[in-house]
Amino acid sequence: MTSTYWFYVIFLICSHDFHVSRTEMRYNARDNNIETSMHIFIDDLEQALANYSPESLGIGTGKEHSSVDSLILLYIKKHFEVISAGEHLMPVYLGKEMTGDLSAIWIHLFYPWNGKGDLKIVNTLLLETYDDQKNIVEYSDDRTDRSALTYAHKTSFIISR
Amino acid sequence: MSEFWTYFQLGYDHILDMAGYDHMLFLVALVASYAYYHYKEILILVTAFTVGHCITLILAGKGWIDLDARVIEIGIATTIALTAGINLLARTGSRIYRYFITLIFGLIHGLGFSGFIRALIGRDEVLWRPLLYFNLGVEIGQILFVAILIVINYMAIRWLRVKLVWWTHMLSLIALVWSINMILERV
Repeated sequence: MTSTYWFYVIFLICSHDFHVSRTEMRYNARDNNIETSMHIFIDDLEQALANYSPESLGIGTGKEHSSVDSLILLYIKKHFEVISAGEHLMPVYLGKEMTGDLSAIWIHLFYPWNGKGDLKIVNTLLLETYDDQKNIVEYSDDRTDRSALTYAHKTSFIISR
Repeated sequence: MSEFWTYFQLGYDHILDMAGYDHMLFLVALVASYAYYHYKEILILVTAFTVGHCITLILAGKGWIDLDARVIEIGIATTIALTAGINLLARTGSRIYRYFITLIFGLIHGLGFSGFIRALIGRDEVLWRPLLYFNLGVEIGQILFVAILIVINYMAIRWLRVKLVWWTHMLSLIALVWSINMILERV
């Protein structure tokens, strides 16, 4: 009976929501950049950006704070690193759009890159907010298709080309 | 890592880190009234449940079924309460009707997963692949979870000499109370 009791205590403690983000990256050889779109649930992002702003951000609402876009870019620079030959690629922010069900946003940006060598991705999006956060990254170019999952104990991976 | 392993791991982890606890609580209630030596019946039940939630996961993932997330969550909690209630009230004997009920309940649980995965994918033309891989990961995690339940069941009945009826009532009561609480939170 004791083992059953502890089993259920652990079960109760572990109950929580599912936290996932997804990033699509595609290298555009003509423009020499990596087109990137991130799908993030709005309530998760609000939670993460609360550390940067004392005010309610109202992402995707009519009362959205004017600093939202700059905060998102600041947050992505810190939590989504794209590294080539030891150099950090700097993201160029294009904008964001709501998903159809209004629960999430797509963040669109690109990383200027010459397409040479391997890439290292360090993705710590929302890991400081949720212990169970999982981040999917899908990268593609003319030669490579690569998917990866980052989470608390594995935050980076290499794309070999 | 390939697309397959990425989404497989996501589904598998979803079960093993207990994030899909309502889904798992249903499995606890589902197998609560069976001893380890009823493994064939357990296998049929789990298969019926899997078939049910695969059907709606694919249908809703394709956008052909669209229900409010809160309604689905209440529906899932209700399946747990009903399964636990049946355990507490039903006499032993023919259990064939349980397979059918489990299939229906599986349809409701599939809606819960698909809402999440559809929000995440958002591209209809490739939806089936991540859905399939994610679901496969869920199934393997689910089978592992049921196997653990059977081992605990074995230990309770064989080693601790717990009677099956007590075991059934204890697990079912936990599931019933918990699920009623879930319903009240979601209404």
